[in-house]
Amino acid sequence: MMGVLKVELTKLLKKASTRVFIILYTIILIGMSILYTVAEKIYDLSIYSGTQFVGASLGTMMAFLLPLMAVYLASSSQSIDFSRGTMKNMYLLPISRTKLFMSKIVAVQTILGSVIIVHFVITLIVSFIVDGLTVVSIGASLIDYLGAFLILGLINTIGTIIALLVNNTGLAVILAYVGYIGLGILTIYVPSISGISLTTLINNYANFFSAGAITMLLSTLAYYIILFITGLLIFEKKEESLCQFD
Amino acid sequence: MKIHIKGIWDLKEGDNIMTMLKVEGLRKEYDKGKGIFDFSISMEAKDIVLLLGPNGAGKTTAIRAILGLTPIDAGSIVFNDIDTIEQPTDFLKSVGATVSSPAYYEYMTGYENLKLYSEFYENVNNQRIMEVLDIVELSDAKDKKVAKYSTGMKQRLDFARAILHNPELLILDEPFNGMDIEKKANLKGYLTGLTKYFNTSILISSHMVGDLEKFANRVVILYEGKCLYEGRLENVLKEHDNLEEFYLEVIQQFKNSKLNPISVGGVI
Repeated sequence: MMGVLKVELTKLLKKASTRVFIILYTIILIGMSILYTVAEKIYDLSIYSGTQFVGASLGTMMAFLLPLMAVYLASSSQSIDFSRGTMKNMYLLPISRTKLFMSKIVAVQTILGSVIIVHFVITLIVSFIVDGLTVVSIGASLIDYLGAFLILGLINTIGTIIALLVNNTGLAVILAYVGYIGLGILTIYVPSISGISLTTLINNYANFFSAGAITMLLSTLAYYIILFITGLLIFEKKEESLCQFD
Repeated sequence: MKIHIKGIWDLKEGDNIMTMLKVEGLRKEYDKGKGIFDFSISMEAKDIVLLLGPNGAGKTTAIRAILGLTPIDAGSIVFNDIDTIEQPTDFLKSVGATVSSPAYYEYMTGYENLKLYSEFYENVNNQRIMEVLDIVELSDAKDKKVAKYSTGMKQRLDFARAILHNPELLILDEPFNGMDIEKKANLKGYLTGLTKYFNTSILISSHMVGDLEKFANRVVILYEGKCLYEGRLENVLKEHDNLEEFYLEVIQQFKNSKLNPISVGGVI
């Protein structure tokens, strides 16, 4: 499994678009950190205290860039092989299709996990320099990040499924966002589903491990199982479309 | 013409054990009655089997079915006592294959592409990757992005991927397409060396007979998804001037009789 995971990671990280995303993320993160430091240290403003910056900066990224990265990388991971025809080479390797599918999802999740770990460390250092820290506040921030990681996993799996269906990275990203907005509107008109709605889960990633959030955790687990099985079935079905008669 | 079998001497003799592939009653039907019907073939170590047929005869379908790339409707495939349908990963450890047009990660170099695939085999290290690149004469272009490769270079890189782990069975779908005469001669020389020194079995599909009759020892003729002939090439050449003449005769006879399927002499 480690071998195929390494391969999937290499394929993604060698892609220019993946690097662009990581660079863009880094620039925004550094920009936010500089602005925060300058505002607090030079202009003597009080924007955040303790580790609030650690959580707030993640919130900024979770509002758009991180979900976009999750959907893009998930779609890209599938389209790398299906659109180029290299999937047939992968199928000729001594590895099961289930492991192949899993490795693609895990590779994307590894990149997203690495990005938010780096984010956590950088913002923690900045917060320490600007405001000072307490162990309790670090723990609270960690829980936010864990929630974000769980939600990004869901977005990753959804992106994978859409990409498998449409076989186009750009279209998959657009459809994912249209679906997200659509679900949000549905939740407004049918408030009874808001507890288990995907949009609610995504918006409440920071409350995942708070008291009374068991429904959210169970819903997330259910979504993981349903989406993974659905994705795997589509992945297995998709191989037939690769066959051409000769 | 003396052909230098490049790279063959770098391999360890006796690496491969005796190989046996037995395909029986393979059936894969698509819409409109196309597909392969009752396709059977048996291969032993050192066999070079030529799978002949016009475009659309079902050669690629047969190869895809053997490799497990497409689900089959009926039939069995056994390789060295391994049921390949039940244990596909065990089978694929011992098989190298090229199927249809070569496909690569064009944003990576030739070396990086092979390095990716090498992760799946225990017996492949950097030295072996370099050796294989040398065999297919891509050493000088190993650091070039595959996007800049010509069709022939991509074809050779595809072949390099197939032989990377020194497989017991090589299945090559139209391997000589897009290759110039010299490269084709070198490749045939290398393949002959593999069978001679390492007991490798090779199944090659082609829609052109050309000079392949001097290269293979068995032939299978496929037409409209049906196996019209399977037998030793030497038996064919005893009674016919060349393989092309026999091939045309078999197909003509099938067209005339419309028997399904027929056997036209030869030892199966």
